[in-house]
Amino acid sequence: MSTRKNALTEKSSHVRRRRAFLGAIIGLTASTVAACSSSNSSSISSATTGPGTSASSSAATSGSSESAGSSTPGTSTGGSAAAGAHLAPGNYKIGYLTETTGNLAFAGTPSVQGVTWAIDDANKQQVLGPGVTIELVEQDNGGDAAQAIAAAGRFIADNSYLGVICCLSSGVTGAVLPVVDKANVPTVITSAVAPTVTHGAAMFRAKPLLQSVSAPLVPKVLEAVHPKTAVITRTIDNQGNVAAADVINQGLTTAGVKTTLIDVQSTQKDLTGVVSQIINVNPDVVIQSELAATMPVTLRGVRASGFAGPIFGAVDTILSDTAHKTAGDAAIGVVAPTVYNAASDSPEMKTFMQLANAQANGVPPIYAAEGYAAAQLLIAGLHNAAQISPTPTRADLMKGLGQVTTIDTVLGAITMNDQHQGIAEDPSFLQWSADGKIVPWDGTAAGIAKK
Amino acid sequence: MQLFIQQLANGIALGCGYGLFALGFGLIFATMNIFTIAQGTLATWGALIALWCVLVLDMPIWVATLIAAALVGVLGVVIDTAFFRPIRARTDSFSAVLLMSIGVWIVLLSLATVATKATYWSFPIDSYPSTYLHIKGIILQPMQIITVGVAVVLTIILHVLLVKTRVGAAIRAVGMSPKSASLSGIRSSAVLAGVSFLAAALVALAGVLSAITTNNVSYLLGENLVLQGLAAVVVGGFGDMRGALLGGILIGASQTLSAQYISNSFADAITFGVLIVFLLFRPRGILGGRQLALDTGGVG
Repeated sequence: MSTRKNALTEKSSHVRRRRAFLGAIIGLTASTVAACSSSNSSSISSATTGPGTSASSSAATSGSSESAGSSTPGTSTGGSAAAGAHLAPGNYKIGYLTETTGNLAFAGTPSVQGVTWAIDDANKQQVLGPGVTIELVEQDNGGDAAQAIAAAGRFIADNSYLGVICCLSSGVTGAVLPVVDKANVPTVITSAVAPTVTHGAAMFRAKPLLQSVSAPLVPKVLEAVHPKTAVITRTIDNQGNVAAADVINQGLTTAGVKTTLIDVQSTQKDLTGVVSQIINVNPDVVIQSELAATMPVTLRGVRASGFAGPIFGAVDTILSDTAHKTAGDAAIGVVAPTVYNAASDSPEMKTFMQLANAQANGVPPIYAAEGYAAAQLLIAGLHNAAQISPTPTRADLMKGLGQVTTIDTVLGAITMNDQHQGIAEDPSFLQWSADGKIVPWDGTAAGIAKK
Repeated sequence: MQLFIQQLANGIALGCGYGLFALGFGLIFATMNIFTIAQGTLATWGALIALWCVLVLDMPIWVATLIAAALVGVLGVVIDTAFFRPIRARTDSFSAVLLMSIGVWIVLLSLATVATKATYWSFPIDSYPSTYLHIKGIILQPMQIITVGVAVVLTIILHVLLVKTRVGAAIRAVGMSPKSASLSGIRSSAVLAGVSFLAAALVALAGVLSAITTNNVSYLLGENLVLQGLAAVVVGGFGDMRGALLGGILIGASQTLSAQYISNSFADAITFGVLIVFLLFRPRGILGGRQLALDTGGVG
């Protein structure tokens, strides 16, 4: 009896240990998979966005991003820059946190190209004065926040670095923010979209807030479609996409449209459930605020399921070659607001395309334009800082950047708000045509009808 | 009601994809007592190889799928022979095998990241049946139906193989004790190689079907399948292929219905919730007849 009781006790203990052990394995698996997924579900909401390369020779008329009082081609100065102020001759070092390896390399490499084009051109044109050279010192962090912090620390510790350019993802940028803020090192962001990353004093971003690009879509939708009902999909774990979706939702709701918000995870692979939800609602219009990994798949599923109504992109995700290829014919006619219009005849875009074409063929990805715009903001800040002192300090550059209120960039005319964030003045509304070109939307319902 | 049935159908199809992965995962884990987290990246590589065959060699997709399954099967044998077998020869420690599988996983994942340039790809839309079907008001993709069919057929075949054939008996004997099986005249090394091949080929097939159905070939494709596959094996029960499929279906349906009626944000939480419930109240799973042995970390 005692033996049997001991055996039962032992078995019970064995079962408990087994459960604990299996639970530990599952926990290990889940945490490693989650870590792997989260490192990729970065807040680059415009992953592979931007007009497709097939549009490079399109006969599209220019978008609405012409700049008044434009800068001379070959220069990249802000609208409010003190054009006559020069820096003292010499080398001015700028630390540059890059992501040319790792998960974000597909965006990091063109981003570096864009920044480099702008800086090299400014140096060549002696925009900041004779004998003035901006020296970019790159430090790759592979999209890893810890490495980015370490690299930022190295730049901060060396007083010869006047400022920093950073980063693609909101996760990495958010990690670097407290470090540069505490050290009062002026930092210009290239592509991170989360609205909160400029909440410190040190960070500045020319790339417009996504919601400022999306908001003008609302009156266009109301005018063209007159919807009574709308479905808005949003990538729930991306702040930029959520902000863009929310501003559209608010605008439509205020206009009396009954909206349904459907959430998508950035790492979600199976979207059949999302598609079924959209079809079940059967709205007058669908507006997608999703990342590139899911948006074309959802779009294709919705069209293949028989939805014939108008579909818009809240952000310009659909305008990339990759998204177009994945969505196929479903992409035709989908309108998206964008600040990156390669067909624009603004001097900034012309200069950008000249520099780009000298290096590679076709329209560069939007990350290149975002990097270029960030460099334009930096140069404008340096111009202003030169007015304070011909040999500005970090504090002078911080003030100089803060003095930029409007700037004409490759991403169009940008207004800087009091949180150092860019606000799009006049985005373009583009769509894919049936023959694979990106063309402006004519603003009518016929222009977005399923083709 | 229509929406419920639609989402249930979506969930069953999704779950069959998980179940297909769980067949391979479970075959190795529950039958051979080998836990290898690298199975997820084998699924990824299956999809990548098939994609390459279609895009570069212009092969029909079904040929590309078979080639991918075969090549990944061979890779599975190589991995077992080169990395796991030496560990098993030295020690019975489950932890050692687990750590080795993590190492293999990271290497394969890194290679997949480079191969895909850390971005996502998709099979050409005209390379597979893509016209949606409307059946009594339910909208289904052809690939959903194909996934369900393949999963069910393979489950039946594997179940019969393991339970009714001499080969299956040999596999189960080697899983219990390779040494004892050898003494009985079973060539353990050949059985292990065969199971490694079969398991890897199954997860590769799951990877290809998942990639086509979700229109997404990325280096992270297999990572999601590992999580769901492990859950399916636990929920369905160790050692029973039918359980793996049933577990997958249960998880897929739970995810889809919870996304519809609760929130899409809780899909993974639902998976683990179901898992936790089964671990607490029915650790053998739905159809499992064996329990995890702590000393070897395998199934006893």
